[in-house]
Amino acid sequence: MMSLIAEQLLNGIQLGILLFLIAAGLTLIFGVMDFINLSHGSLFMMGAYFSVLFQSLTGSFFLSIGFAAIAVFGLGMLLEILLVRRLYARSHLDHVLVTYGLILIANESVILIWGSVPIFSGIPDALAGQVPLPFGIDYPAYRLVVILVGMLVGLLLFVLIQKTRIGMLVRAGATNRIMVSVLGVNISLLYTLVFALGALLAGLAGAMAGPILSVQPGMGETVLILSFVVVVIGGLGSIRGALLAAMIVGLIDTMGRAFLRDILSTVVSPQVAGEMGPALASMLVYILMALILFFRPEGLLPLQKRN
Amino acid sequence: MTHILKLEDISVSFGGIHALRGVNLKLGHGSIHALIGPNGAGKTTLVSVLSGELRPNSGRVYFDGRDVNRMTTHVRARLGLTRTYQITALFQHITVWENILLSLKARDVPEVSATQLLRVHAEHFYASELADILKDFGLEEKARVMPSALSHGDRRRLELAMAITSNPTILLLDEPLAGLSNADAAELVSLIHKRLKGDVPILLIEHDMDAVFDLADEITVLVDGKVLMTGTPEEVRRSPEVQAAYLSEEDDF
Amino acid sequence: MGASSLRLETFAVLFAMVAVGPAVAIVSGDVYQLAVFERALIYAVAAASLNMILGFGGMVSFGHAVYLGLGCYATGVLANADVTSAWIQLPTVIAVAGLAALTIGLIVLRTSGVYFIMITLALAQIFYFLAVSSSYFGGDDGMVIYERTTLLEGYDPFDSWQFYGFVAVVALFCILAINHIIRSDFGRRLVACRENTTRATALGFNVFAIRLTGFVLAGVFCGIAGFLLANQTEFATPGYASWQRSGELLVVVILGGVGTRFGPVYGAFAFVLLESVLSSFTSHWPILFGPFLILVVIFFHQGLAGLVNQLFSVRVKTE
Repeated sequence: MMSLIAEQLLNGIQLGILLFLIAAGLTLIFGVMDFINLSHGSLFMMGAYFSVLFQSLTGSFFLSIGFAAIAVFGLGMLLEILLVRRLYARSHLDHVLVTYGLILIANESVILIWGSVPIFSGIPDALAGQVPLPFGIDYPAYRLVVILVGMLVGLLLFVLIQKTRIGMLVRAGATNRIMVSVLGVNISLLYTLVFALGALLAGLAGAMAGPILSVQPGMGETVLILSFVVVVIGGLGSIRGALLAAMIVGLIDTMGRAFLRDILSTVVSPQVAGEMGPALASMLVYILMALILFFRPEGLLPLQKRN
Repeated sequence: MTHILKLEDISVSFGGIHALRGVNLKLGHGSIHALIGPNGAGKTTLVSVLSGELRPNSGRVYFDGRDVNRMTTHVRARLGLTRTYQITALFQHITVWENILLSLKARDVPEVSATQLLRVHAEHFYASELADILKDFGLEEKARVMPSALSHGDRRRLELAMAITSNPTILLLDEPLAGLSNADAAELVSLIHKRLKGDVPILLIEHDMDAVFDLADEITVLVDGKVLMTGTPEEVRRSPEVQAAYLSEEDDF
Repeated sequence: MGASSLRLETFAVLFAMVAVGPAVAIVSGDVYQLAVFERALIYAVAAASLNMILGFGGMVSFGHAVYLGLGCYATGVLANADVTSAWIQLPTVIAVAGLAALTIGLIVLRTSGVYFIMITLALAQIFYFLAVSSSYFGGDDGMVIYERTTLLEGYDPFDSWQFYGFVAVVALFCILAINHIIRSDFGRRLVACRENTTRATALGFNVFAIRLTGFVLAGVFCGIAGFLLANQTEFATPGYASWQRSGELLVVVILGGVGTRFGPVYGAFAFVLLESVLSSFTSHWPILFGPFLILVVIFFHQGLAGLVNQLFSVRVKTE
């Protein structure tokens, strides 16, 4: 029993890490440019598909992850320069509509090129085994690596944002846009880089998630909504908030799906529990978000805005 | 005699900043009470407390004897507490005429009702009242103009016109002369004399000292969130503390 | 534009809206063409209801399709229980959709901006997952609806022409009602609340109550669209309430022209017809529709209604 709980706990953390990577980009883009990017899920999906592509080209799993991330970075830059930058002055509704259009294009393109059948990108042999952990649990090596890589990237992101000049500009831009432009910084370049960075994170997450979820059209949308929930719960524009919220969401979602049915069976019949369980599990995260929006709309770890 | 408006020991603080400290103020029926003070003294905060947009940390607001602390802004507005805004708040998407008309309809039926869904209340019903208002406030020629095409002076006049139409029991004028040329300001002051003075009690927040001494029956001086003194214009003008605190900021005594 | 040319436009648009379907069916000799136009009419009602709160109320709801789904399921449940009379089904749909909109509205209208968009999405998702996971409603696969709505003696809901007439009449009524509400005193207040909330409050308007009323009305009309959808497709599926569907409704509104009186009609017909034509060429039609949508948003913000207005004003000038 303990090992089951511990395993699901780790799965929850792993989901949380993936969500963090996506949400961090989303929240950065929203915080700095006030832009709602619905196509962020599609960038996640492209990361997975690019990884499949590069794996077939290079034969190396690890190289393919790296290349995929870089490819999505480039894609992000292209998107920002060609399209996204025209929309900063527009309303949020326009952001939603245009990026919705991008989702349609992305999903169809992927079907055209790879077909709509899910692709199972395999776990590399080196990571196919189990790793013995404390409490007598054996945890899949690959998932453990995902957690570690995610944490490393998170750390790098922290260093970037907190300790570098670019990071300072990003932080300043998030809390006071006007200030930054007055500083004479090349705002366009900053925005492009921020968008591309967000894309990179999403693409990396997608590439790593490929072997765990199956690679298929529309795989971005489920993660997208969860990521928005994370962003809102954590606080718009706040990366620390995104981390905390991602962990909470990842754990609640995973543990809920794993255990809610059993917990409910102690109070209602197994049949009812079998229906209510999964339903409630899916809804939990949204109920949490609705509650946070109601009682603490600024999020768990909001940015201190100085307007 | 009850005062139409009474503020009792109002204190407001944001974080570590004390915007208002134990402010007391009374407004009598039919009088014009001016609130002056250097920038940052807390005048706007006080107005926000009055209108309900801000909850004080302590203290009470009495409106004609009633404690209005718990009332939201629109409820206070329905009780007759009307205010104008430092930055004019007008409906930009409709003409001057339609702005005032909406205000008149709001006066008569502020709440949501089923009949509202079914029709447009006949506008000829308000036609003569509207015409009078436009004439009084010098806006007849501009009736079919959009607010964005109005001069600043006209916009201020429109704000005042809308304030009047809501049948106010008290009027809060928040820097109505801000940004006006001397000529426009003088005109607006005479408008206030003609249409409002003696009729509706007014709390006037202003920097223009000529206008203040012209219009006010009583003046409260606010400095650093505290009331320095309250008195007649003469008393205020002669007070050395006021001159010291205020004169260092303003030149036009 | 004078009042009489306004009435002319209204008559023209509404007449065209219900007449184009039969015209195509007669000319092509294919009565099944009517189904496409029924779908367009249904989308027009749903879009009009969204336009009311979005274009006039300024509320960007990303969960409006919930009411479509609710109306559909409510109708289906009743129909499958052999309760097919419109006199029972419609009031039920109105009650269900209205209650849901009231509940959701009480929560979401405390927020604004991005938060509003996100929370409407979240609450819609809650309902969606409920629909997906409950086997009683058919779960993920959805629920077949075995009976269409009956109205009076002699009305055969399975006769193509009579059914089209039924859909057209209900849709016409809804569009007229929505337009009437928009032009009423209430509609003007709703717009005022959007234009300058500060001034609206200062006038004594309870902005929250006004928005809530609009929100509930919009939900009810969208529910009625769901009622029609249940009849038309004879199927209820969670997909009708999905966020993708909500996105579609937003697309239809923007295509037609946000905040215009007949934008939803133009947008719905354009969307459904475009989808129908494009999908007959290729199953990959979204790849054409995506760029089209982006171009419309960037360059054609006034939408089709804007184009029509230009046409009309040109004609008026030459008379």
